[in-house]
Amino acid sequence: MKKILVVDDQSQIRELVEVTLRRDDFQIFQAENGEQAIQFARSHRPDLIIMDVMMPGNIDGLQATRILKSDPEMKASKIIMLTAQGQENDLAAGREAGADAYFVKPFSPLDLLKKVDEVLK
Amino acid sequence: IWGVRYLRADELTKRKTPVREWNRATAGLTGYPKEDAVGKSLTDIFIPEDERDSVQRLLERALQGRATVAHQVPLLDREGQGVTVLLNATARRDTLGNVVGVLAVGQDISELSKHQNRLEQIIERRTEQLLELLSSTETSLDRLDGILRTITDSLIVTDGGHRVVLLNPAAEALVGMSFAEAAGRPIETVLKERSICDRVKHTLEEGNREARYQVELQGANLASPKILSIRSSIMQYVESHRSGVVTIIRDVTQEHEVDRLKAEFLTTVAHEIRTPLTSIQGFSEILLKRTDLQVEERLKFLSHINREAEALASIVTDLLDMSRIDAGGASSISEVRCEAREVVRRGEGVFAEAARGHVLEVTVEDGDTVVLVDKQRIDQVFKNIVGNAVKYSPRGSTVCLTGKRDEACYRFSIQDRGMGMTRAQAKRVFDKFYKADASPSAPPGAGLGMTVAKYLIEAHAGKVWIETEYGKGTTVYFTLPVAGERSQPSDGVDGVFIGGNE
Repeated sequence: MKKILVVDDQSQIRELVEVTLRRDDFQIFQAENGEQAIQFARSHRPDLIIMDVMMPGNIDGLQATRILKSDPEMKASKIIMLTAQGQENDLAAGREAGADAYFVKPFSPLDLLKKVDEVLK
Repeated sequence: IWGVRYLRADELTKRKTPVREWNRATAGLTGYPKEDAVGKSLTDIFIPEDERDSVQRLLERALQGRATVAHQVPLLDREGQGVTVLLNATARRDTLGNVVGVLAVGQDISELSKHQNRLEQIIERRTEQLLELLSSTETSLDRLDGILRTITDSLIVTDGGHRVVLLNPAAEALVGMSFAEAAGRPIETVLKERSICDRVKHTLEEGNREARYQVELQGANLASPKILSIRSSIMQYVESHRSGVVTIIRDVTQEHEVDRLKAEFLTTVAHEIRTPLTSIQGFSEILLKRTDLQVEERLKFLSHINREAEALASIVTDLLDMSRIDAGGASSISEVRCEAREVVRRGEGVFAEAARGHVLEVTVEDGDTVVLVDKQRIDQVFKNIVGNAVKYSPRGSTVCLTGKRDEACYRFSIQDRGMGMTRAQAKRVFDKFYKADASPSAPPGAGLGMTVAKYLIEAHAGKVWIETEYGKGTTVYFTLPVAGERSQPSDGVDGVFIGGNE
């Protein structure tokens, strides 16, 4: 059973990712912002975090990714960034923050599922 | 033509002036042949009475051996007509040097005076032309001056020594110095911005025909940096080799701001469109591919798709309205008579859809007042204004919708208890693409809602304004004209075209 954390400020997107990943071997958790995501990740050590980039609050997705990726204890958690921005510099920023993959909205749920399997392999 | 006459000295002194010689030219001029003239008195016969004394004096002076001055007199011909001659008299001496008479030479200047007249006419005409030219030069100078005054770009002209030769009023305002003060001063003492002075000097020294550059002004007294677009060109005087530099400075801060807003707008629009599209694409694919979903869940996903499609449609409507505003074109407004209370009810309907746990408080006075309204358009106005009230105030807080007669208008207001705006934000609330909170985490929207609302209200011949206090909340007011209060050919006009310019 893989633990997957879905982080997005929009509940509808969380719902979409959740139903996309609804499978017997996945256990899905949700967080609304960067702070919640970091807190949950540190206590539950998810295998994968699907992280929205633009989120309200003090810590956006990029920062949360940077913080988690620089934490040696969190090495095992993979991160897929999910964003409405798909420009070159955004992708570069995601890579630089340490994300394992980058997914641009709108997306095909089946493709996301494939990407998740790929990252978790 | 020359007239020559000899007069005897002894007789001349007796105030007699008998003619001794009479040349052919004189005969031709006067019409008297030599034989008729010789022996007759020059002054008595050929000079009009009022000129006789002066001619007599001229001849006497010549007789005394003194130089005579040319004298303009009329010489009478046979018909008693005067021919103007220039009379010169000199003493005539014999071989021993004794004065024997006077040689009077008359030069016919009638032609000359004709010429002179013509010359005078020419001079007169030329003078007139010159005066005309001068006044037209003055007019064109005036016109130039007018142009210089009118152009909003700053114009600074410097000479070969980089001294200020001209400042137009816009430039005076820019440098904070009058032209009178600045004239003749080195440019760097007039224009504080060193980089511009350097470019001006450089232009002349390098002999560049034209230099284009931009300078960002950061001043302590400037709220935000000013961006100046500058062109310095070498000026060659037509008549001399002197040269100088003409520098034109244009404030492009606003153009830059518009460009920046447009770029920001495109990013925002892309984001705004991607968000509903994500739900539409995602949930529709899930519905197509997943067979394990319960009916309730399928319905829920379908309603997500439906709502997001509506959100997309409203973004598109906003964009189309915007492009219409940009084009300055007419927007068709189909106004019908409608009770104010019915308009408020439409606002309530819009609120019910937009609210996220918000409470609506409705107050209607003079609800039976009849206003002219395009119902679809007013729904959009409410959607944009109420949408903001809901977006920018906490869940569960109260929004007040009120309606009240206000003289010839009916006034609506939508009050929220949200975050409110600073004065600077409030000033720009109706600007295109402007979002008071432009951070990624800001509530969604392209920054067009209030612009579109204002446009639609003004197309109704109404007015819109806001009152806001930072941290306390915002109230948006708008008015609609009361039916019959506006000159209207008939009530309930359908499909009226009202020119809508922002």
